[in-house]
Amino acid sequence: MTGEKSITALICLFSVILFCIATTIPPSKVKSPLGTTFWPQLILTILFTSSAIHLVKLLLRKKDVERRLARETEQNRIKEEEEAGERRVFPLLLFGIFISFMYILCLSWVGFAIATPISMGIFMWITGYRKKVMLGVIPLGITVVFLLLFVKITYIPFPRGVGIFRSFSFLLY
Amino acid sequence: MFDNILLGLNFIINPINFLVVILGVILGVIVGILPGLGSTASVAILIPVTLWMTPTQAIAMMGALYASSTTGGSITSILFKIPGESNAAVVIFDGFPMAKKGNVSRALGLAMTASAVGGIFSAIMLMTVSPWVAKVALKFDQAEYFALCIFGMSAVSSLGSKSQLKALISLCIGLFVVIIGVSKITAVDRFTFGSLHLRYGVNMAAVVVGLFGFAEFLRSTATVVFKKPEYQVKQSKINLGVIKEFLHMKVTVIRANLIGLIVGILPGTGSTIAAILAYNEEIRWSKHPEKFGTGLDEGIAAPEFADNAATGGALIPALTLGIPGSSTAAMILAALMSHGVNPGPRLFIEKPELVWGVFVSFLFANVVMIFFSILGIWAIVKVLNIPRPILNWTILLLCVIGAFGINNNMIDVWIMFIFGFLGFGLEKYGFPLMPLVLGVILGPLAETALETGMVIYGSFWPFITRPLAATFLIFSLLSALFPLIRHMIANKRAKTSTG
Repeated sequence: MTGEKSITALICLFSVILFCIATTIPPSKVKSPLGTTFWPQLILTILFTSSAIHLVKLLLRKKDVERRLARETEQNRIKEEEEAGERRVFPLLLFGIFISFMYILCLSWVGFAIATPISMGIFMWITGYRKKVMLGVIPLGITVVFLLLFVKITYIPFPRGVGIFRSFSFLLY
Repeated sequence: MFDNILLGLNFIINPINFLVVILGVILGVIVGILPGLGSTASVAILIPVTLWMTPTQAIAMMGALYASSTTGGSITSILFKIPGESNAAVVIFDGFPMAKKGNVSRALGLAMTASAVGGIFSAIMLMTVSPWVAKVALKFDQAEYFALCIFGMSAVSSLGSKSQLKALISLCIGLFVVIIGVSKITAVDRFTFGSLHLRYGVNMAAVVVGLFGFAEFLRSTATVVFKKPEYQVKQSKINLGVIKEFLHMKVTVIRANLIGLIVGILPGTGSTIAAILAYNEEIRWSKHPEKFGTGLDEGIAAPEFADNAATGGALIPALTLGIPGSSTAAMILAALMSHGVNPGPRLFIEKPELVWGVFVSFLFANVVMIFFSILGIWAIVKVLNIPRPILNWTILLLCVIGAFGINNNMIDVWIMFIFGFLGFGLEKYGFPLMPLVLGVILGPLAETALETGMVIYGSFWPFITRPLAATFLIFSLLSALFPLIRHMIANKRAKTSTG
């Protein structure tokens, strides 16, 4: 419930900030009966109003009702996890966000051909894959397949990195 | 009409187009089998990957994927009690008990043949109803377009989600996202913060790939499997002979198909609601409702007819009016727009080869998917045994490459990352994502119609007084009030039953 309150409060706050920015949009030289700020301000007003109402509703909810709802949500989650044979692990979520962020960041610097097998190997190891030989073979294999499929066939110019990494990437694609 | 069908046949007999559609069917069956990875996320991931194809090839492939994933999801429902797709969850009620009794081939046969019948029915309706709707829509002016957009948004907010307020918040976020960039009407910078990249706007394909594809990567990475299902599929053959059973359930066939088609046409509803409604109606009209849940033929066939009939139904408003009938249809619309093609009635005049190529491919996909479903059962263990880390990273790779491939720059990859993060967070706290996508799709259309209409009419009055526009606005109001009316009726019923 705290998470929902936080995300709603953030939306509320952003809608106010963006509304203020919308007031600075310059007028147009083209004929516009509604003006340049009408549409953005209309959307942001509705966004602010709806998120503010939702936030107030969440804040006014009685403690015991909130506790009951939280308990029910937790029970439903456990039941669903039991039925599906799966469990959500928060540290793994953080890891997923971190490694994808680092991978995207590294793509610009070291290029696709180097960043992909290394990141994939680390990802597979941390998420529980333990076959040592395959940990090297699969990421390399997938990188080659993707390079062939997308660079050679569909001509998508994958990021090549900078400096020495760029020269290395040019050897491959 | 006959000429148009020939135009469509001309597309499908081309070997490359034929293979593209077959690839769509195969991908659809695999996506259907894999729990978690739905057709919406798959089509979203495919959007940038298909940018090198012709628009007709891309949409035909996605249509084939959409049709076959709806069917593929039922296989795991019947065999393992794990729905591959959300709409396949209803088939568990009678499909799994029938399989448990040893009638696996009958259960699979009923599900597959009912899916094919539902899909073929919806494809035929798509071919016959769409041109007629497009003809009517050609008479639309700015007022009607604006009202239609409002109707699409209101229907999604009220029909497709538990909380209207959350759906409205989600819709407004979508509407705001497409404001960023240079306005096409006034040529003024909006929320660009001096960035050259943002002047071009936020790319729709990057947004949907993030919301569905990257969010799926995060969800799947954070999930640990502690109990693997036992795969006993050695004796799982499909008894296609059960199709003759449909002769004994003519009313079920008609009712479920019509429910599927109508629910599919309604904006933002889709296959899952169609399957649930068809199953409920089957119980309501049955002479032996107590037997449902024990492995009844009608309990498997009705939801299968309906969910496949809904796929074609969802494409009718999508292609003719630009209003998607389901989340996957919204992705297909986004794909169409990413290819620089605007959906709407003019599409039928300007690009008949695209429209009819897609229609005929959709019909073809519904016919051939039954054979690929048989192959899917043979391959099921292999597909389900792909280690999760490999599958998850492949999803991430497709998202990154897909987003990068849109404009060959890393900005779109970062946009995809941000929206994936946002989509994951919003969904975790119960904010539906479908209204957000609809906002992204309908936002520019609504704004353009409003601004242009104001210039042409000189006042807002025609927006509410033109008959068709007024009708759409009344429908919008009704659909927005629908949850309230439903709540009041339920309260009244509860009071009368207790009193």
